[in-house]
Amino acid sequence: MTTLLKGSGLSRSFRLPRTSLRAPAVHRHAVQDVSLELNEGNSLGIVGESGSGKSTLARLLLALDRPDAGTVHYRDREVRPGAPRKLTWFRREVQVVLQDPMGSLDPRATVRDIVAEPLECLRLPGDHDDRVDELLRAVGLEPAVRGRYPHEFSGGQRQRIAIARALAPGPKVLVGDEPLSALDVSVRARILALLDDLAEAYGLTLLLVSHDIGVVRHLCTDVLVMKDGRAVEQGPAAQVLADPRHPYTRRLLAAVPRLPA
Amino acid sequence: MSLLKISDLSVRIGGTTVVEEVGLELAPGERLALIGESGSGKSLTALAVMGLLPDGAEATGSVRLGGEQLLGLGDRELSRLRGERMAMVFQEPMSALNPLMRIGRQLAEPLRLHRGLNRRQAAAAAVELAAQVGLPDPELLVRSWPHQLSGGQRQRVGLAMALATRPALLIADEPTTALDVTVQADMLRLLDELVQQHGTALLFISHDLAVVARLCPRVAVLKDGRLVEEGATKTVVKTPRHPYTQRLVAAARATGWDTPEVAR
Repeated sequence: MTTLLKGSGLSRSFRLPRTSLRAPAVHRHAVQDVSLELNEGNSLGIVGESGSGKSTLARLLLALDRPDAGTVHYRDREVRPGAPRKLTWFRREVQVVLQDPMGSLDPRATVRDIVAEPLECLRLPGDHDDRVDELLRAVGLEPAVRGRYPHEFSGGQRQRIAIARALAPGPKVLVGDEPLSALDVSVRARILALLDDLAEAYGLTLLLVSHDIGVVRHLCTDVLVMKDGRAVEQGPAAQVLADPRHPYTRRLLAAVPRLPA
Repeated sequence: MSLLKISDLSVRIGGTTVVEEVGLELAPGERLALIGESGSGKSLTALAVMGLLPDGAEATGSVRLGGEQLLGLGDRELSRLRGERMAMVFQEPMSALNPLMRIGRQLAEPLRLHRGLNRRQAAAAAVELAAQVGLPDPELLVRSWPHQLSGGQRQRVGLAMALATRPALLIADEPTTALDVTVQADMLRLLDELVQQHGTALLFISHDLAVVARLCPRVAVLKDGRLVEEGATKTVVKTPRHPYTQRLVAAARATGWDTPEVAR
C-alpha cells in the first residue's frame, strides 16, 4: 500500500491576543506532535470538536500553513509551504473542498471560470471547456449552467460546483474540511453519496475533516480523533468507532444523538 | 385543556406565504418537536407565537395561549406574556445576549421586569439561576461579560433567562445547533431536567430528528410552510407516512450514526 500524504510530528501554535499589558502573551498549541499517514485508496476522517485543531492540521497537510515543527511529505517528496509556483506539482495531486461554498466561490465568476481556474493556474493542458462540461456532469449538474453565477444556485448545488473545481486537475487526494456541515440533512445525504461515488469512480483518496461522526463513519476507512491539538486515538474506523480505547473518544461517541431504531 | 393552540396559522412576507394553515396543540407540560429543513417555516411559526415576527411579516389565523388570543395583541401585552407565560431560547447565544451587559444583570432582567425584584434581590437571584443551570463558580460568573463565556455556557445563560420566571411554555429554536456534540449532549440533558422539574411545556424546533428523538415524545414535520405529518416520535421515525418524512428519515439514517453497517 502506497502512502500518499504523510505528516510527521506536526505542531503549530498561535499567539493569542494579549489581554493584559503586563502578562506575557499566551500561546495556544493548536496542533501538537501529530503524525499521520494517508494511504492510497483509503479515506481518513479527522474528527474532533471545535478548537481541537483539526482544521489547522488540515491546513498544515495542504501546505497552506507552516508548521512550527514536523514535516509533510507527498509520496516521499517534502511539501513546504511557499510560492504557489513551487507547489504546482502538489496542487495537481491534492485538492480541497471547504465548508461554506458561498464563501469559497467567487461571486463575480461564472461556473465555467470557477471550475476552469485550477486548470489555468496549474497550467494543465487540454481543452478546458470540454473538461468543465465533463466535470459538471460528473457532479450531477447540467453543463448548461456554466454561464451562471454562484448566487443562482442552492447550497447543495454550490457544493457540487466546489467539488467539480477540486476535481478539475485530476487530483489523487481530495481533502474536505467540513464539506457537508453547512447543508440540510437531505442535501447532506445526497452530497455524501456523491463524494462516495466520485471517490470510487476516480480512485480518490479522501481526507475528511468533520465534527460529524456519522458522516465520517459512512465515508471513511480510518479515523483520527483529535482533542486539544493532540491525536488521542487513531486506527481503522470500524475498530475505533466500535471499540474506542481513549476515554475522550468514548465520551464523544456517547454524545452523538441517535435515532430510535 | 391545551396550553397552546395554533390553528390555521399563516404567515405572509411580502407577497409570499411562508407558513400555511399550520395547526398545532400543546398540553401543559407536554413536549413537541417541530422538524423541518431550512426555509420550511419552522422558525417563523415560533416567532409568530412569540409575537416576534420581523417587520413586513403578517400572521393570520389563531394562536391561543391558555385560551388567550395572541395574534393581534399589542406590544405591551405581548411583552408581559413573553416574560410571564412564554419564553424562547435561540440558536445563537452570542447574538441573543447583550454584549454590553454583565451576565448577572441579564440573568435577572426578566425577574426585575416581571417580578419587580429590586437590584439586590435580582443580584442574588442571578447567582441562584446561574447555579441552577450548572454554570461553574456562579458568584464569579455573574460578574463576567458574554464574550468571556464559551458557547455552551452562553446557551446555559440563555436557558436560565428563559426559565427565570417559570413560564408555562418554552420555545427552543435550534438551541444546540451551534454547539459541539458533547456540549450539546449536556445541554439536552439540562433542558430535559429543568423542563421536567418546572412542568414547562416545550416546543423544540430543530432540523435534526436525532436530536429531538430522545427529548420529545411527539413530533410535527414542516415542509414549505405546511404541516405534512404529526405523530408519536417513535412511530414517525419507524414508519413515516408522508413521502417527505420518509426522505427525511432516510437522509438522517444515511448520514447519521446508527445504521448497523459501516460503509465500504
